[in-house]
Amino acid sequence: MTFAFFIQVLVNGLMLGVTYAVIASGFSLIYGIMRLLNFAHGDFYMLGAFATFLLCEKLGLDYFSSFLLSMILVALLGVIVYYIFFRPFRDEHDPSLVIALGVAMLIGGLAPLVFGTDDQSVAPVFSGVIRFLGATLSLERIFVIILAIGLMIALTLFIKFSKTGQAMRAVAQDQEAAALQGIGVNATFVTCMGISSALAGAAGSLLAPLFVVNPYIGTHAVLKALVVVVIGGLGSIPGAVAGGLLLGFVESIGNTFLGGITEILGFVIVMIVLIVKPQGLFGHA
Amino acid sequence: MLKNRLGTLILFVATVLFPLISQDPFFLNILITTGIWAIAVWGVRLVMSTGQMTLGHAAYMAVGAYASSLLVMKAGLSFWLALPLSGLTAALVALMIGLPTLRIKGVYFSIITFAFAEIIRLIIINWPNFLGGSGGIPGIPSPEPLFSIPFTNRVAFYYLVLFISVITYSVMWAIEKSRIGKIFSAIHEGDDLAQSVGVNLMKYKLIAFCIGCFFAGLSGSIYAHYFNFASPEFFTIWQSVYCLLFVIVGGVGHVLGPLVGSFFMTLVPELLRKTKEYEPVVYALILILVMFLLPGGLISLPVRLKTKIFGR
Amino acid sequence: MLLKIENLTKNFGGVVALWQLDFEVRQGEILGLLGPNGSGKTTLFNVISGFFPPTAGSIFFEERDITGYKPHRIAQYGLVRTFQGTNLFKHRTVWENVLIAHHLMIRAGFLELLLNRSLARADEAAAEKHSQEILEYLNLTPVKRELAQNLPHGLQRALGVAIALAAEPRLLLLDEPLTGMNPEESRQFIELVRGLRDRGITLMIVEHDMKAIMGVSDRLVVINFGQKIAEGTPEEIQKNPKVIEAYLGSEVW
Repeated sequence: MTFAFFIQVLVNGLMLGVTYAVIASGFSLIYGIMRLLNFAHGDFYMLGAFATFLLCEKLGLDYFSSFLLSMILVALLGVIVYYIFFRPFRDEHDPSLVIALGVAMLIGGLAPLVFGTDDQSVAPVFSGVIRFLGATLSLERIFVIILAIGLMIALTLFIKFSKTGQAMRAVAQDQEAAALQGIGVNATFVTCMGISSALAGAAGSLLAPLFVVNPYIGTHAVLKALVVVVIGGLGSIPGAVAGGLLLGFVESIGNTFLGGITEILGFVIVMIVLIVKPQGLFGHA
Repeated sequence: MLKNRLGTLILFVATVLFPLISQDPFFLNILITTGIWAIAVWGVRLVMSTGQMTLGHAAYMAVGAYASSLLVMKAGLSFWLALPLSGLTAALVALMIGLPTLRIKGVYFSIITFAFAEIIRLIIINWPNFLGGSGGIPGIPSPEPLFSIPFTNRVAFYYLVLFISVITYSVMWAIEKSRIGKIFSAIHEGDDLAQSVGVNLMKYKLIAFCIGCFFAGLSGSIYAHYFNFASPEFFTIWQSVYCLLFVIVGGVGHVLGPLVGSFFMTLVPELLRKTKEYEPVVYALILILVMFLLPGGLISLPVRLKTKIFGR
Repeated sequence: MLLKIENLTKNFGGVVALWQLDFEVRQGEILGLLGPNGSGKTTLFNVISGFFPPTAGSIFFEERDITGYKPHRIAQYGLVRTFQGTNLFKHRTVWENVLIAHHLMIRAGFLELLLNRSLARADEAAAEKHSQEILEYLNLTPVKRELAQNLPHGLQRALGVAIALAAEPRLLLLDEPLTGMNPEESRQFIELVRGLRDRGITLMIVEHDMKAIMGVSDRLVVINFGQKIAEGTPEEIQKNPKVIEAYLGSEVW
């Protein structure tokens, strides 16, 4: 195992890690603010990938426009899903969980019927490679890393400094108190849904040129998101980042050297974390 | 009260007599599949009755299915011994998992249950030598003849499933009517309050969990020997979700809910003559409709209709 | 000496909620536990009743070391608590709430519970009789068939006590029972508390409403920032400079 190879494994881990962070932050955002475990989140990831596929390959749009448009489309869908399905059960814990499962099944079930079950692919934006410390790294992966980091920075800045972001944090802390302060809880939820779905769609769009696009990638994505947020802490964005990076590296290294066991490891860690420290690394109880 | 008893009795008699009216394999298959699901779903309902929403019930069905297959095919046991042993194996696994996890509530518990379900599924996939891997275990034999009744045809299987279903139902009914059932619902409604008057939460949650998973194991075993095949594909997260779905569609509040839900959800896709591809969409739509229009589940339909028509 | 707290300490992460608390509750008395908001009263309650394990120190109930025992075990030994919020079986009637509390106090084995027939009948009759007595005693009989969630505040608190009484406590811990009550409801509740003591139940009441508790307690323990700052009769406490300082600026004084 050469040093160059090791660098490649690391970079791959970084790429997986930041994309997991993007997916997981959306997921965590919804849980933190809406106290909802949005199982449909994976479907938004999948739809982001398919939107990019359709726009890029079928309509001939350039990648960047497809990327942005996919985010917007998925965000809109997220808001629609909120209004139709999530809002009526907003304050009920168990029913929200069930309806989220239902929506996940609905979208996940419709996708193969609408898009077909074949694997699709999206052409990468960058086809070159660069050499770094002796390793050969694809530019496309570097591009994904940079864009994903950019998204995370944008999200963090938004939550920290924008008025809506502050409203979201207030609602996450104490919904009733926030409402009493005049913060529109429903509006906050809508924004949250939109941003979260956009992030999921963005992740799908980013990974579309690198991995296969088919209707079943959504389940995989939401499972990953779940592992990440459990490790990082449900409701915590820094947690989603930390957990995402951790999982990314563990998977990259694990898949290279351990093979199939790696996936099991992820879930075993989930169980251990939930038994020993349910709040994860950064979560609040 | 009398109406309930009478209704249940009629149902029972009808199910017993059914094969005398029709031996159509299509209908028998639906009923057998209903029974297999119902046994497991009754188990889910029991676990949920203590306030623990499990999203990993399929794990215990898998344990039952694989334990049964291995006991029969590798250890040479009779199916009739393997069946209860599979249930016990599932219950034992439930005990081991329940001890550290049942003190956790809410979404955290739900996540744990399906993390474990995924672990079971991945273990099966990654162990081709002993557990058949992702190819599954083909050629699982049908049950050996019992009292010289062969079990290679559907009618015999139908009565087997009916028998186990009746047992399951009786156990669930007895629990519900008993003090232990009251303890379960008190835990569900207010576990702090229950603790403060002396209820040992862990003990009762474990009892519900182990019994519930015992029946999941039985269900898995019957499944394996009916379809003569076991595969990790049958025990994914979606199967666990289906267990939850079926009890919600049927009606969580009533002890016959699991049966009604299992029957309806087995029947509908068949009636629509759609292929398996449409199943998730159909199920999702039914679930959503039930959640919005009939939260008490299908079993609450007669009462709702009566109120609508005759007023209250 | 019914309950003895020795050197009781509780940390949450880095936060010290209780620090080396020492006091006792004597048989037959009404002990008031006072402290401003955030002083650690509820944590103390939760630790004594077993809902949180202490970080250090010991709790003795009737000479038995119950430190670290789970809540259900402590309740079975006769130490029962009520809750600050309204912790009731909201969708059940008053009658059902008290009756089910009896059902939950079971020492019988599993199979007995499942198959009980004649045992059940005798037990059930006794439970119903006892429930009826409790409801009458607390003047809840008129609202017997009301859903718990529909009751006014004062009656909900009384129902909380009724449920606790089903467990036949020797020591009853009341967690801020007067919160949200109007003066008339408070007065009635205090009367109730006196009546309970007269019937042989020892009581420890956590409150931050000073006036009400001063009137009914035989002794008081005052805590602030998790530490005991005073212990004594109401007269002694009222004059205690540390207590006055702790409550300075607070309306209730």
